[in-house]
Amino acid sequence: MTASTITQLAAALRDGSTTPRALLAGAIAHVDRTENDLNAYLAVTRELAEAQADAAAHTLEAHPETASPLCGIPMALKDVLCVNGVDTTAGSKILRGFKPPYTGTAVQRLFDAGAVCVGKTNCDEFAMGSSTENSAYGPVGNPWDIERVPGGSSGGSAATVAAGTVPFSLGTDTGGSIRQPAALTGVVGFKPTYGRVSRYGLIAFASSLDQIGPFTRTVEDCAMVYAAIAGHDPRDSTSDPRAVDDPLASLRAGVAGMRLGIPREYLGAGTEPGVRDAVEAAFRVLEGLGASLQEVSLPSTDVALSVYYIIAPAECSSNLARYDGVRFGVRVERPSLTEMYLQTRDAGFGNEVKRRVMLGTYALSSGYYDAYYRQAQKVRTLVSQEFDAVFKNVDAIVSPTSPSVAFPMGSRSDPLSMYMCDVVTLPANLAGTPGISVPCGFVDGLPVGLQVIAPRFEDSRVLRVAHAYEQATDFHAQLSPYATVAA
Amino acid sequence: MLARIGLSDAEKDRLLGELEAILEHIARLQQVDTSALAETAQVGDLVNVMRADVPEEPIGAAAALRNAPVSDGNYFVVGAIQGAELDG
Amino acid sequence: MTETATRPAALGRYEVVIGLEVHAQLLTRSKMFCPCPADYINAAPNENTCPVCLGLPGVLPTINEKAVDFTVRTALALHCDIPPFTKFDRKNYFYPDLPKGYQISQYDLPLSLNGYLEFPVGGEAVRCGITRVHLEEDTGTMHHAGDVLQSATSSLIDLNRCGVPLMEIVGEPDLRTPEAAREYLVRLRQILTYIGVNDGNLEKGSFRCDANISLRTPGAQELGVKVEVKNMNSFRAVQRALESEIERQTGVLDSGGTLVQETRGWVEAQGRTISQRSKEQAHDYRYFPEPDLPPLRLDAAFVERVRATLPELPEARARRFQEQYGLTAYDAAVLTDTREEADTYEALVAAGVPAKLAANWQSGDVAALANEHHTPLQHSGLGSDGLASLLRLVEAGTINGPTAKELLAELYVAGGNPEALVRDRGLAQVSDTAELSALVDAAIAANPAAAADFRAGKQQALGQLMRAVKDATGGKADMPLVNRLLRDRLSEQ
Ligand SMILES: [Zn+2]
Repeated sequence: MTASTITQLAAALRDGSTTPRALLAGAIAHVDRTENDLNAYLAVTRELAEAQADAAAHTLEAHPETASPLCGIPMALKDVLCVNGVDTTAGSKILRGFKPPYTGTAVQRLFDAGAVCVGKTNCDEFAMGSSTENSAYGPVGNPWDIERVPGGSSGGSAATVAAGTVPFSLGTDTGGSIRQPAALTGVVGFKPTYGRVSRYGLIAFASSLDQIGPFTRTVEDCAMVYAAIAGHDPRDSTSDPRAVDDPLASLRAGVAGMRLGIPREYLGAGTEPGVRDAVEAAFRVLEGLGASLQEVSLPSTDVALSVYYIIAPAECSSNLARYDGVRFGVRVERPSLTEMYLQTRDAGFGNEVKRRVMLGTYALSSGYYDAYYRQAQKVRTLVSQEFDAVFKNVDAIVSPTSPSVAFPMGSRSDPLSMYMCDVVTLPANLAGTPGISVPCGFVDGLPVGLQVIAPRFEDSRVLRVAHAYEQATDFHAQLSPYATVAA
Repeated sequence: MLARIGLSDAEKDRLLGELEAILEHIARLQQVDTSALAETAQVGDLVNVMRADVPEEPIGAAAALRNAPVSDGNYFVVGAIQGAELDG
Repeated sequence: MTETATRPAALGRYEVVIGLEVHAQLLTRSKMFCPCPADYINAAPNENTCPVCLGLPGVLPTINEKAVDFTVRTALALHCDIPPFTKFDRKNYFYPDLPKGYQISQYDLPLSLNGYLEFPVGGEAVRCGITRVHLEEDTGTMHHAGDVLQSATSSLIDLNRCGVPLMEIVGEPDLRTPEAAREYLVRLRQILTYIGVNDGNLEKGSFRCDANISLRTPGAQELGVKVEVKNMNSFRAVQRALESEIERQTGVLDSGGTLVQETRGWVEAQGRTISQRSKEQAHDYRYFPEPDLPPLRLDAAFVERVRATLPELPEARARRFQEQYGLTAYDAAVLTDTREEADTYEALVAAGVPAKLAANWQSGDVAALANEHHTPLQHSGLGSDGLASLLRLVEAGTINGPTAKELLAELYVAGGNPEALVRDRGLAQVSDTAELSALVDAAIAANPAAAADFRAGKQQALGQLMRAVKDATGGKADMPLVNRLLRDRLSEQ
């Protein structure tokens, strides 16, 4: 059952050819086979999973028709998502041993649908990074080449789907942390419109940018998981009360007659030639499907990176103040309170987190607020306005997801070069628009992703374009070496 | 320092060097003319999102304290607060 | 120096400038940003907590609508403007009673602005501007082992209070004396309790006050060096702390010294303030808009809806009491001191008790009993309905004043129906002229000397005769009638 899709497994569960327990056992066996190389999991939640699998089996037997397509399907959760009583570390030393006394909304919706949680996946500490090398618990190997990074920050969630262990997982995307690792591991990764999926229970990195979304093998699976987790949540005041339209209803409507824009700035000098070739070939496929493509401009793309690296650190400097060793997590004991704070946070946080907390603290401090934070907020408005203007002329934007394919571990030690990974993904976070990455080719055996972005609340349109492209190609069907390891 | 992270001198030097490079890159932001732009604190147009004043069952002290590194009875415990530390 | 000389001596050589900041907890049922019960006093430590007010990873705040309503209500009572757009901000600082490492508060766009409070001080009207009224969340509480902060080795943290809605009312530096400061607080508390948003308890800390005080040469435009005074938990403490601070600052200035901008704490036992924190240690709170909460747009309809829930405020009610019930300014002020008091008064009048009679009894004997038993009338055995029937018996002449007083004292504690009691115990006043005339004759006969003295012009001699008649009726005689009958009879010969 390795590397099956949700759709395939849901059918198998209903025709009696498998059971939730069997799927779970297969998934855990696959973790055991691959984990030495991949390090995709921070915890395997066997007990929880077994209970959920048994409950799912019961539901499938009692109500096979009305049971959710996710019922009995194994899945994995990025370790920034809180699950009641389950270790949740956010990839940080400071949260070692932390067991939340509650379950977040999106996760609860999956549990309610009957999905089976195999484990918590590795990620960059507090979701800060683009390679998953910033995890306090070691880096994650890319299933296409374990010497290379899987992207980040949701590297573990991407890798486990790419390795065929589970058909879907949840990640979070603050500047590209779902889409970029999806591209680098050859799977589908979707960041919904900001406000569509409740953030309650998501350990915050940058509150105005964070969004939960799925990793899957196919766009159809992605639409199913999205439909299960999306919708208003009174516990998240920024979650939108507008009704969610069914993404499956329009999924097969195709792109004939659609106007697609290619932002000139998204194929800039930093784009690797192989990536450019793959994406341009994808554009021709879309044209062949009846879409009309045109070049558009998002002039502030370059400066959006600066906006992002002020707003995200500013919010994170405040969001991470609660890690003080008082109520939860790891404490470095010192006789004086101030020393306890200083040593706990020095020992508990890794380099990238310290960098961003300091950067954000600086951007908000008196004397610098106007020049940095306020200015960034204003330019953020400009970034949104440019998207609005472009969307007057096109229905969606298509571009590479990442300027490069998966790079070797340790090759980007300079923070700025790492930040450049997000240059074409983070504008969608600043503007709150939905964005997806779908496999669109390979360069020397390494996957390339095609990004599709649509206006806010046009999540279904993003999925529809991605699905049309996916159905016309077979890149998504190619399996990483780890997905073909036999039992 | 405001971030409340106790860095060693070597760490401090390295981080400050990196931050300088980042700030230099970010400085291009200053060249954007923003005189006609409003600030975006959050995307979307939501306003007046409020809940009714109806109490719900709290989780209780036992659950609240379960993750505490140090507790005493029903309380969280921290070390002594020295004079200069008052109010943070 | 002529300027100084022309100023009232009481103000001394310097002009005192005082501004007050009040933090008042709102009487909501649940907390500000989570649905935990807001009652933190009656719960065991950390019992009334949830992931949100514990500041656990992954949680998000939600705004309590009632708290917004209460703040707007307060702002309207203080004549503030309600701007159409307001938002919450994060105030960042580290302290163990602040679990998130930031307090959700309001910075540059508060819920309300530009109000005022008017009140008399020593017969003169004072108007103090209200800069702003904004909404935030309270912190937890800390207990220091040994109760001595400086020498404690550890501190205990209770987060029950954390997240209770807290309203901050910032006054302009318009106050010039400690007495005015005290009066401002008395008035402010009266209004908050009147409109039902706060319980006004300084001791328990649901109504807290900090003061900013500076001295300057009279006539100077700019303010002197400002000192913030904290830790005052009674009106008296506020007045004393400010007096002590004026004395201290005057001393420093007179001796040619310079004051430093600092925060000082009032130490009640020592009767002085001590330095807590200097300006150099002041915080950079790095305020920024709270990304987890959409802003508020309170339109005119919302504001009008809240305005409609505002009760008549104490000042207006006192004025109306004077006009409608013919009360003196003093009686009207006493009877409108609290909303309950004023409601009781109006209930008495509505139940048929004459306005003046109700006023006299309520502000006299009833107030004394309430004080004595630490129980307001509403919670006494008698209740305001009982008091009304008792006073109707007085008004109808069924019982006399002394009997009514005795009954009041008894029923206040024990409860009961005054009419039934008067009937059962035969307490009704003796006002039958024939019966009393006979007793008057008997009294004159039994006290010939007193009768002779009175006839000789000694007015006081009447007392002995009156007492004799009163005793003969077991205290139930209609004494004004007895007085008239005695005088009539004694002047006959
Ligand atoms: Zn709570």
